[in-house]
Amino acid sequence: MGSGSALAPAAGGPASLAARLAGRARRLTAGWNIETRMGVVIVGVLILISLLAPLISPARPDTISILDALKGPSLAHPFGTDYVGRDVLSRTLYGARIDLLVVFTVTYIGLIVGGLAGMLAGYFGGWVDSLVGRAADSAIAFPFIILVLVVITITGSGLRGIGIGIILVGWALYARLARSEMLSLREEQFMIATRSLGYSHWRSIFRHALPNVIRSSLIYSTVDILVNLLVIAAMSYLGFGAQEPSPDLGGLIASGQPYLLNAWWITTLPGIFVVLFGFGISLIGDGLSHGDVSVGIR
Amino acid sequence: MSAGRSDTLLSVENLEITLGRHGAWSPVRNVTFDVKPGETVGIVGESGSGKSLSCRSVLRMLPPGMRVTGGRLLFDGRDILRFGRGELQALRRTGVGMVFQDPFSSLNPTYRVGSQLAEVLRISAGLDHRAARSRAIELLDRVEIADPARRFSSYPGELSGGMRQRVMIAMAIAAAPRLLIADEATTALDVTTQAQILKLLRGLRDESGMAILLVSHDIGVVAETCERIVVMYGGHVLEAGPTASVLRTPGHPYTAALLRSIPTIASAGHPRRLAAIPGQPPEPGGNLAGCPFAPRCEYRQDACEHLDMQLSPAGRDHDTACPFAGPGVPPVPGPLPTKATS
Amino acid sequence: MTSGCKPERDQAASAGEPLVAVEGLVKLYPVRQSARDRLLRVPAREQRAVSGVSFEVMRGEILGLAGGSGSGKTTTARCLTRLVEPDEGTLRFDGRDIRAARGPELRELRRRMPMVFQDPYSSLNPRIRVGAAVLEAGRVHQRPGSDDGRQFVAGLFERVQLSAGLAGRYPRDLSGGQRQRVAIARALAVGPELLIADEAVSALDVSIQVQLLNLFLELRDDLGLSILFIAHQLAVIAEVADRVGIMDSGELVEIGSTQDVFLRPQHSYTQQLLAANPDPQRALAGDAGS
Repeated sequence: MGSGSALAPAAGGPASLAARLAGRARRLTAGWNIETRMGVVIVGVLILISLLAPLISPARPDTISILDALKGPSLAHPFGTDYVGRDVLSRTLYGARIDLLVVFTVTYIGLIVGGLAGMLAGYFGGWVDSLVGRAADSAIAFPFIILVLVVITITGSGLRGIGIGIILVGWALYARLARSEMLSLREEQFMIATRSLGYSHWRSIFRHALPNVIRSSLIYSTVDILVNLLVIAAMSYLGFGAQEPSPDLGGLIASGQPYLLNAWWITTLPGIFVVLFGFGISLIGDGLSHGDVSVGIR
Repeated sequence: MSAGRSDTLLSVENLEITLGRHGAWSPVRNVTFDVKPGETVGIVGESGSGKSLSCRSVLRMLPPGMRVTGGRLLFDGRDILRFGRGELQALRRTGVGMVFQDPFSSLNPTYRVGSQLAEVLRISAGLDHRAARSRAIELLDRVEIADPARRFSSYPGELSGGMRQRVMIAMAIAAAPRLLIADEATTALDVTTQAQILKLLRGLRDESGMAILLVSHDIGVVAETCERIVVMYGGHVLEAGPTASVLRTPGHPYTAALLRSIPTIASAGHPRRLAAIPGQPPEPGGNLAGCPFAPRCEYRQDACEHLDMQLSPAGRDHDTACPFAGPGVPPVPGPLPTKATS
Repeated sequence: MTSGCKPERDQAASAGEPLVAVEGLVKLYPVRQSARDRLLRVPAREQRAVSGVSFEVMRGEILGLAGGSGSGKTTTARCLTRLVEPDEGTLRFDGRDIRAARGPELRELRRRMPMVFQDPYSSLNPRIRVGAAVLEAGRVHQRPGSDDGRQFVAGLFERVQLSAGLAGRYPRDLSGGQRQRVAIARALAVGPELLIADEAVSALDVSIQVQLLNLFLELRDDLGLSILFIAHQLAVIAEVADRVGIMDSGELVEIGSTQDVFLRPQHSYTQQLLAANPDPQRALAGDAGS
């Protein structure tokens, strides 16, 4: 748009593109502290191996082999087998994949819907604000588990029901966040300038306000992902989530519970996965909130 | 440890303040000035001149990351930089008082104004509650706050900017300091309020013999209140001397250019293109050698980039850091249109 | 309280219809009531931020608006573009009724009188490059020449004496003075007839202020722009304004040519304001440090 590329090297070939991306990446991560970096690494690795599950699993997750049932960790099965001989590692990776796909989807749908509603409420005020405000308050006030159960009775068990429940509640948190950001942003001189220059409301909201408002929502979403993951795992553990033969992490943890004493690996590996993921996300959230120290000298 | 009575109250000698390790950047490069007892000295400078930092270093209140890396700071002949905790506290309590630019952030909004003032009195003068309270009300009256007894119980939020600044002044003079440092104390105020506060400061000075160090970016403010003026730019002192002398016959091209360019009311109705100084003040982070004003100076010579920046009399009754000052350089600013010649 | 002097009948300096005509502008702000007063149904007092202000701005002139904080000068300017809704009064721009304008008509009026704000650190969107921000202003209103982005921005930057290479930078990379120039370029991009400068130089260093004042004078001379110049420093107004209005507590107490108002002030508040303004020349005459 316009002369925005005034400082970039003249376009030419993949080499310069790679150089530019590398430069971008370096500048982007320059301010990151050790916590954020570690967190990103941990989460990044987990996400990567989960998404690549079909490629890197030692076996198919649903291959039954009664002969191999309840075998401990070995070369063929690095994390052992479960009660019908399925490879625990593969099941974990596939399960994680399901969970991650679901959790990222529902969190960001919630962010988009809620963020939009909150921005409009904060910008226009009046009845829009009242409407969004009341809807958000109701959503937050409603006991979550009951909401999910209600949804599930309609949609049937499975991640879809849990996902819908999460979105129905999650959007409200983003709406509140976006709304309060917008309320203070609205008074910034550059926002007032857009009106004094005769720009339309939509331009003011989407071109000017959005990039500023989105930041805190994105930071919050890193924590929200963790929370949602745990919620999904818990609901699945209770039996409402993805059913056999392709359960998700929560289901896997539940399935191994009867065998905890003699085949601890069935429950433990999925459990470690969840814990590591949570740890990584917390590091990122912590790191991002500690960052941003600007030293201003007048 | 004796209270060495010397001729000079505050003496700043070749002060250097650096941010970061290994001399990354020095916002104050080489600053020298002094304040005699009872004197009113003004420091004039734009942003980046280092004037605020120089004053804060007197109380050793520099922002995190900045340290004094050179020079001496003497109060009553004693080196402030070597003060132990007890001496430093005594200095902050009873030697020097400081008033900042934004009165709202210096006052705790959750406590009443009177109790904050009384607290200062209890700590610095050791008064008990009742004595502190009555002395506080006296002080509020002295800084010309109407109805001081009632105002004692007000919260900062209930007071106007001018009133809050008066409270800050009261807190600063509570322990009868020998030096009051006012760092852009009137910048955030209305013009009429500013005039009142400056008048108040002059009155306090006349009454108590307190010295005042007034820091401002506004030459007019300094001209009206101070006997001596110090002109700072880019971390150096460019010129210093009696106000009248410096303003009538400036000894540094920067001062002359500034005087030629600042807007004045007298130009009303005489449209003129102001003689603006080209370029801009130095950016933070650059460690230029030589004279910091050189890039913008119309008398610039090659030698300016290697200048030592020492002050010397150079033939006028005040000091300048420009060795090329002499007859005709810089030219005396021509007479501006006055009311008589409209 | 006042010296009983009505504002001078605003004499148009040049012939022709005024560009802006304001008559009887009033803006009220309700004063917060204590709970007790509300319970007792005490009628809420209203604060008059702007109280019956009338003035005109002619084409090609710079009208200064001076006064202390709380005098209502900024509110007056915001009423003009309806960033704030006036409660009473007639406002006309080029003969058109500003208060009646809606939607696209209002946006078009705003295009013709954009504002430049005080704080260079917050008047530009930190996430948008300065060249893009200026170009956007031109494109939104489909100004001629705005299709050729690079050229359009370069031309405007030249007019405000900014190097064209800065177009790709973010506001945080520029100094306060440079940012204000960008803000002015952005205002020029929409093709205005009136520029509203709300304390536009107050937050800048003295040596930079002066450069921008010269720029405003050039814009008036070269482009025939009218400028409504709001400031609290009288000296600044004295240098740029052709005429000046003095405001106090929401009222316009005096208005006239800069020379008349500053050298022969009629109203006591004006005299007070002039006396309070720090002036090195006057200080020298009266002997410094007294």
